[in-house]
Amino acid sequence: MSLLEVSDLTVSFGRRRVEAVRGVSFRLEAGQRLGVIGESGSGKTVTALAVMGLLPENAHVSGSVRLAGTEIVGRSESALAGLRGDVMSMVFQEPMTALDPTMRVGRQVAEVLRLHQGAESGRARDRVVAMLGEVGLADPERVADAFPHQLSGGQRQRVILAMALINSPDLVICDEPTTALDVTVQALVLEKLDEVLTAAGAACLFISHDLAVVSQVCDQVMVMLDGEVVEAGTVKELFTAATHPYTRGLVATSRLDLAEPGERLPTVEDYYAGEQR
Amino acid sequence: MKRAQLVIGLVLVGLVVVTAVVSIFWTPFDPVRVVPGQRLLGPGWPHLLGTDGFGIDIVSRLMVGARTVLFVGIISVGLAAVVGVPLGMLAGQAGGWVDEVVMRVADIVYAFPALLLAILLAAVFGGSTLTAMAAIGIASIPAFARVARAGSLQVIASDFVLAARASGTSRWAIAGRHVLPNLAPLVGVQASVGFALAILAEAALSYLGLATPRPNPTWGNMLRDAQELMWVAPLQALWPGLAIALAVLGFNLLGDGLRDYLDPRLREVS
Repeated sequence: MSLLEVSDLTVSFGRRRVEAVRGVSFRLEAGQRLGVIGESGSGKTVTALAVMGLLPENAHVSGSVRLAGTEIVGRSESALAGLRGDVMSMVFQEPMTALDPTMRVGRQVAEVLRLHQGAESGRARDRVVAMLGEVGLADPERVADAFPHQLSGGQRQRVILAMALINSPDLVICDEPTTALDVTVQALVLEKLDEVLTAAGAACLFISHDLAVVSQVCDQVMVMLDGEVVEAGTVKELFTAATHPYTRGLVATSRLDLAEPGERLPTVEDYYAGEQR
Repeated sequence: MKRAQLVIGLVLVGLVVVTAVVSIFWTPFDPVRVVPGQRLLGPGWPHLLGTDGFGIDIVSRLMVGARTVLFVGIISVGLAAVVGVPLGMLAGQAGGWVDEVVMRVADIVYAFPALLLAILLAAVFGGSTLTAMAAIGIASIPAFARVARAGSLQVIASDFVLAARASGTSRWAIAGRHVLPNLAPLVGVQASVGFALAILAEAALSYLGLATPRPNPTWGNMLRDAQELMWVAPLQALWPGLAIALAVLGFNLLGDGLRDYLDPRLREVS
């Protein structure tokens, strides 16, 4: 039994049932990392939210999402709340808005711990500070007492990472965790993410539009386009033997080292014009 | 400029508060005892603003009036906030028919004239400070409910609430831990503006004799007494009128200043 089995997942929204995700199937073994890549609106985030059971109320979900054998689709909110943050957790894209501005960050991390472990406040504090240190924050004591606006984007994203990892979940979903960060900070955060995921032995569903980032963290990749999975395989297979023209475009644009000086840089459109474009 | 608004508001409000507190322990003269020999003295010494038609020191009466106004404001705005904010949060959080019912009832209360409510309460219980507070408080509930509902909707749609849900926080825990603290600035601004309205309403009600009865001084019933002496001593109406105007201005400026100060978008622009 795989840790996460998604089969024939279809999500549509509203009365007109606009389909955001169509018949997506994949599986993820314990400790494995799967990159999900695709452009904006390709259904990456909707897939992630469906796995977490966090889709808005106007979403219609069909198909099946099984986490360690337990069906997620159609489960009650309270049953899901018990799993979220404990067995599975999520790292969000925007470090600027994913932390409550009115709460000290240490308390926000402690809250996750308290919700699932019922830890007493004194001991929770030690765990929180230790976790903040583990994700690479230089002065965890001070950071724990800070409000979000007193921290930089990179620091906040690491706090969010700490929130997601403090209960040692089996599955961590990262939704473009480094998109909002500048390149140097991005490299640092990715490195830490890699480290803590390995240390915790957690599986990861890593969403990104950046093939270079995905190849740095993941061994398996799945390419999404207009709500469907168009290609899946190992990172190596994708780079060497992509079959779908869209994937070939992605690979070409990520290999800037192959571009000749003075030549025009490749774009995805050179390979794949799209159906509606 | 924005800062000046807040500072002037704070100074005026501070003045009212200090005056009210001092009046509990000390006033220059007895604010209710009639002194027949000293009727309608002009401004001077020792009666800085003169005396009224009963020979009572006007400064003393204004000071006690500030106390009444603050008391009525605090209780009525407090009542409105304590009832209105949870109702608004409930409407925003639950949505659907709960939202509809709560907000339509709020609309009905909002449409019902506050003055009529005050007359009703005064007719049943007799006009007193208490009925005035109740009437003003009930009439202010819808404003707080609306602010809280709009704010809740905004907070619930934010990333950090989604993040809290992704960590397993239940909806009700989110309401207490994330929504309420983020509503605090909005509610604070509304309270300040509501306070200004409460002062005006209290003045109007006691002017009409529907609130604090004489001989206890309020700015409203001082105005009423002054009206009868309009042709003899026109200055009599100026003092309570000025007090009302400055207090209302103070709370309005404080409310606007707070809004600008707390709104990060406006802060960046200025």
